[in-house]
Amino acid sequence: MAFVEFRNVGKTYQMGELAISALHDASFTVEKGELVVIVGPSGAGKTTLLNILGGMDTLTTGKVLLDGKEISGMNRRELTQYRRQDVGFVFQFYNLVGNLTALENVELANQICKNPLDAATVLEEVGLGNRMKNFPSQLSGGEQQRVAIARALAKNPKLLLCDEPTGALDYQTGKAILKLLQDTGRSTGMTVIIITHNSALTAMADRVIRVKNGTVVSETVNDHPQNIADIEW
Amino acid sequence: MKRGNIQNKNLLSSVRRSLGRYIAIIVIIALGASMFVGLRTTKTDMVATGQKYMDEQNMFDLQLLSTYGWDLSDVEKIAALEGVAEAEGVWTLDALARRSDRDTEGVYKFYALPEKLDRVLLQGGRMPENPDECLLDGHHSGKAAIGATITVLEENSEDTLSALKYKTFTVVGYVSTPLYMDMNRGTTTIGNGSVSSYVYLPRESFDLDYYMEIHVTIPGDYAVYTEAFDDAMDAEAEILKPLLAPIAQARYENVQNNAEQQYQDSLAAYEQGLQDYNDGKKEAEAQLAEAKAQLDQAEATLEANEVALESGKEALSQGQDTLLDSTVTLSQSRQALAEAKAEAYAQITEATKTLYDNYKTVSQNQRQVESGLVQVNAGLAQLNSGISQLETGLQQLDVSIQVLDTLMKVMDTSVQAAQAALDQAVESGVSADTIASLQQKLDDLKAKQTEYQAKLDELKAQQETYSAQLEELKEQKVQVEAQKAELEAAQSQLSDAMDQIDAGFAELDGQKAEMEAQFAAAEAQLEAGQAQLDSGKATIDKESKTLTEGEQALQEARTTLDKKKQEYEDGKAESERQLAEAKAKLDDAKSQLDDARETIDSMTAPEVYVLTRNTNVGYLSLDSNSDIVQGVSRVFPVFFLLVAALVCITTMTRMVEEERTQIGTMKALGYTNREIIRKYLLYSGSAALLGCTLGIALGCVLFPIILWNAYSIILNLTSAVTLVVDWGLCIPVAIIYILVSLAVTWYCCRRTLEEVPAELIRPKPPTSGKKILLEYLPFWKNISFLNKVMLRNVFRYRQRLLMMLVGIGGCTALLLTGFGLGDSIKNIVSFQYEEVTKYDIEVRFTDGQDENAQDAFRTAMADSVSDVCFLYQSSMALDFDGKTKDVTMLAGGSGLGRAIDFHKDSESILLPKDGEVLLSIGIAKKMGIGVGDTVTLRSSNMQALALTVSGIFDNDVYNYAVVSPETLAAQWGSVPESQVAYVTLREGQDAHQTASSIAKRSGVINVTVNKDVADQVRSMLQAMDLVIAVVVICAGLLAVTVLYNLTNINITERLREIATIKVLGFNARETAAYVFKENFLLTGMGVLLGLGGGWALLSFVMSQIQIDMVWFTARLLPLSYVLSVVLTFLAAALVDGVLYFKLDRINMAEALKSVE
Repeated sequence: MAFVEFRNVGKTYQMGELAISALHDASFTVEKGELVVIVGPSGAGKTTLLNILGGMDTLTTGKVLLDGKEISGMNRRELTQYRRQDVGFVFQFYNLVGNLTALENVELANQICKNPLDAATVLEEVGLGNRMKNFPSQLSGGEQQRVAIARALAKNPKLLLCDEPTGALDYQTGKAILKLLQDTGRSTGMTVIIITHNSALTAMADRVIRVKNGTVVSETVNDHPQNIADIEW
Repeated sequence: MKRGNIQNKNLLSSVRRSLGRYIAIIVIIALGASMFVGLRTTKTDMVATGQKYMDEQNMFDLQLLSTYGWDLSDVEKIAALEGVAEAEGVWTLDALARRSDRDTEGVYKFYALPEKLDRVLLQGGRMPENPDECLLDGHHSGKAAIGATITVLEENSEDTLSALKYKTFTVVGYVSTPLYMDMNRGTTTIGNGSVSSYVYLPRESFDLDYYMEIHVTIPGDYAVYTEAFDDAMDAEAEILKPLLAPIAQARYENVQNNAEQQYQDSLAAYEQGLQDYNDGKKEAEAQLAEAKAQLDQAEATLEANEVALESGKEALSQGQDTLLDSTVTLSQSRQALAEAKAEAYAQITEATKTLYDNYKTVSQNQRQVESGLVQVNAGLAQLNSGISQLETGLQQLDVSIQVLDTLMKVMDTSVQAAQAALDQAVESGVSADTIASLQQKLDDLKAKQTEYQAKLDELKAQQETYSAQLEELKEQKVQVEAQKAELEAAQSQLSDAMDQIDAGFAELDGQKAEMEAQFAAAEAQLEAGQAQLDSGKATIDKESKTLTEGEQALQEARTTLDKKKQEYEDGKAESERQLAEAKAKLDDAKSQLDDARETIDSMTAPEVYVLTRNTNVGYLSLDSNSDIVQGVSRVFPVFFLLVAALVCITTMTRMVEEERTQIGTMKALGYTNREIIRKYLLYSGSAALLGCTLGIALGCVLFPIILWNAYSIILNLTSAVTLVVDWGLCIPVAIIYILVSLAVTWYCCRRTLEEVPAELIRPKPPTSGKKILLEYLPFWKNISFLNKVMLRNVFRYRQRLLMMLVGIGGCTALLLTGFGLGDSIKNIVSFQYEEVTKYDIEVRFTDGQDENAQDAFRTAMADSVSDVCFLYQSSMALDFDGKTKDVTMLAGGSGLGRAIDFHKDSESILLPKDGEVLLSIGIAKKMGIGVGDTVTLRSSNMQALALTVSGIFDNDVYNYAVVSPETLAAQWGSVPESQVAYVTLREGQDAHQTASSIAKRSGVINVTVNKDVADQVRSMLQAMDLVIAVVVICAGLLAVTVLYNLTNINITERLREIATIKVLGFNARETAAYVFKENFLLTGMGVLLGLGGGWALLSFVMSQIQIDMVWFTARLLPLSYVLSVVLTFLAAALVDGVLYFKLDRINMAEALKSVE
């Protein structure tokens, strides 16, 4: 059984009298330990898909399963618990708490989950061993994103969700971040899902899911994912 | 203008988007403006209402008093005086009366209904139409009282009762009067010393020939409570005083003459009475003397009788003694007789017995003799017979012997014949048988012969015996005959003895008879003696009875006499008592006369007092109460302005930040700074204008109405408050608020507008994280992670921190001030009458009380009173540093320290020594006097005291200067006698009962029960509750507004952060804690700050509330602290509660949005 399973997921936003369908009939599966890239143009429904998978939003129709648990049927409290224990988030704009140091930002996350990893260790693993006491404003974008990744990893989640993790970063830094994500996935066996509009990144994925016009248009397994270093865009 | 339209649209949309913040500005400004304007206007309105009321009822300006009242005709004279607009005489008297609807007795102040001045305002019912109808104090009655009756009690003094034509008045309406605008009805010298209500009667109900007071008005319209008015009144008072003197003098002379006349009449009556008394006394004495003489005579007679009785008694007693002796003698004689008799009888018996024994012996002997004789005779007889017999026998024997001798001779012849025959026969030889028969016959004849012979021998023997016998017998016979003679001699002797015995018996009998005769004679004598005794006893008994009867009679006589004596004594005593009574009455009359004389003699020239309206307690009360409201209003302006400015700053800063890009765009589009800033100025300016309009409108209407209603508890004029809009106050307030809001807006925009568009279009770099100072402290490590986050958040945003501290601190401070106002003002009563004034009753005497009078008072009241402190109390002027204030000087001994607890804070202060003075804190503070300063006290007659201030003591009501009597003695030469006493009750004694018993003592003119004063003040200050409520509500609103605004902005600013932590899996509670923990910390800090600030604010407000005679000290009770803190946190919790939902609604998708 697949680690992550989307079954005919649909999401409709009610805007006054107008019903806008953000996602419909989306189905795909992800196996455990895979690095998945969900790719599609802006407005294709990537973020909706991410929101639903990340337990930040509910779906209108269909079913979502993670590791055998049905997320789609969860109430608010269960969703919170799900976010807390099972999902790590990496945002496009890092979303670090400006008032907390790098270490504290990581600690902020692992304060609340059951078996967190050591914040300092994780930070060292992402290569920020010497910047732990710095505030986000004292870090570069790439460093901030590393902190964000460390924050997500420290929770020791089942699933690492990354929303355009390189969107706000320059090319090289972006590459480094992607490498970090790929390496992390490979070394820890964690399932990593990267959402991006950049099709070039599909090459690094074990599985590529293409989204377009609010639905999954294709789902391909890449038998030979390339190293990020080898990818150019 | 098109541009303007778009700008306006832009403005409206901004307002719509940030409606919460816009309203917050309106509310905070409305709050500040309404509080300030409202409380200020309330004062104006209160005074205006009072002014209108006083003008309409034509309240007096001056009150004219003279020591002897005023003649009825004086009113016209006074009305004609210079500077007098109107004048009216006042009839008023205090009387004990019973009110039927409440069934209570109390002192009522009866007024004659005025026609011109101090007219009453009918609040309900109708005006009286009959002289037995009345109007009642509207403050103490209402519709329900109409129809009730007021009955003047008979206990009232003669003067009072005669001054009213009726005793019972029916209430037909209830009124208010400018004379009593507050609830204080003043004091009185009767009853419990305090007036319960006033009553207005028609003028014709009074029967008085003089006025107690004359009230006048001065010309001109003056605003009340102004210096101009005070000056006008004072000036007129000065003018009137000398003009009134002659009028008062005339009245005085009139009174004096009347008094003199009355005195002379009374004196004559007294003298007549004295004469009558003396006559009566003499007569009574004469009557008594006569009665006494009669009694004495009766007594003498009785005594003589008693003496006679006594001697009779004695004689009787002697007789009784004699009788008793005789009886004894008699009984002795009787006994002696009995004994003699017994002895005699015994002797006789003995003698008889002896005799009888003799007799018995004799008779025995006789009997023996006789029997001997008989024997002898018998013997003799026998002898004789024997002799005779013997003689006979002898004769017979002789015969027989003769016979026998013859026979023998026959026989011898027969035997000789037979022998001869035999011998013949034998010889014859007859037959043998005839020989045997003849032999036989011869033998028989021979035997017979032998026999005969024997016989003859025998007979012869016999004859011999007989003869011997006869001889013997004859001898015997001689012997017997001798015996017989002897016996016969004995018999004769015995017979003699017998005769002697018989004679003895006879003699004995004779003796016995004689003795018995003697005894009988003795007994007869005894009997006679007994009879005599009996008769003597009977006589004595009779005499005794007579005596007893006499004695009884005497006793009766004695009793009667005693009764008469008692009657006499009683009569005498009664007569004396009556006389004494008459004498006492006369003496009383005399002393009254003397008093009257003294009064007349001591009648001094009349004193005239001209009192201004400023001496009316109600008039002052309105002013003080409105002052308190105004004083409270001073809390708000600066403070609320500050808070409003801060709210404005945060709101506008946030707004400008939010619209940063928009500003940049507009700038890029070519809008000028002025055009851009216009929107923000309009935003805040319009909010300020709206807030001010709302605040001023509410303030001008709501506050006065609410507060006037509150004050109607104590101020009883009219229910409708006169609303005055003081534009001079409102417009500046509005302008200031608007200007401030515009200024802060401009300040907020200026920095942003100075930046170039390119910078503005770029998102503002995130505020850099920084370590806070706390992190360098060692305990930082020990703080939990989330608390670190909280602390950092708290201290990182300084503007917010400041605002929160000001807002929350302000809220706490305001609450504290509100409650503190209550604590300080309302507790004046408890403070003054529990902590300072320890005595219970103040007693005023007409004159100084010397030691004896003081002791007498103490002794008389000892049952109910534990301590009495006599002191000299006088109103003095206190001079210091060129300023002068009136104080009450107290000069008392050590007892004063018990009656009043002199202390400052909690330190007690020693009583002043010679040359020292203690001042109450109010006067000291007002005049800036400190311990060690030298002050001067001046009495009205310019006697001065130079004193060193040795202490300043806590005291709220009135101003006191306390000196020792020694000081007066040293500086004035003598100590005035104490005319005031402070009385402390014993535990459990009723103050009113004691007060009324004190009031009944002569020389007491006024008794004030502190408890009553305290109750009055306490109820007067009830209105403070509403003022406090207003402050508390405003403080709450302030806290809520500030907290809401800031937290709201805080949340908006940190939307992204909050969304992120939600994505990270913080649940609702944790998210709320993450945000609100800061709030609570800030609230806590603000509260701490506010507690300090509140004290300062309260002290400031209290110093602003200045009322003469009362010193308000800022005072806070623990409960107020607790309440302030709790309420502030409650406000914080309320705001957090509301914003919790906002927090909950934050969409996590915000976290994914790009940074603006």
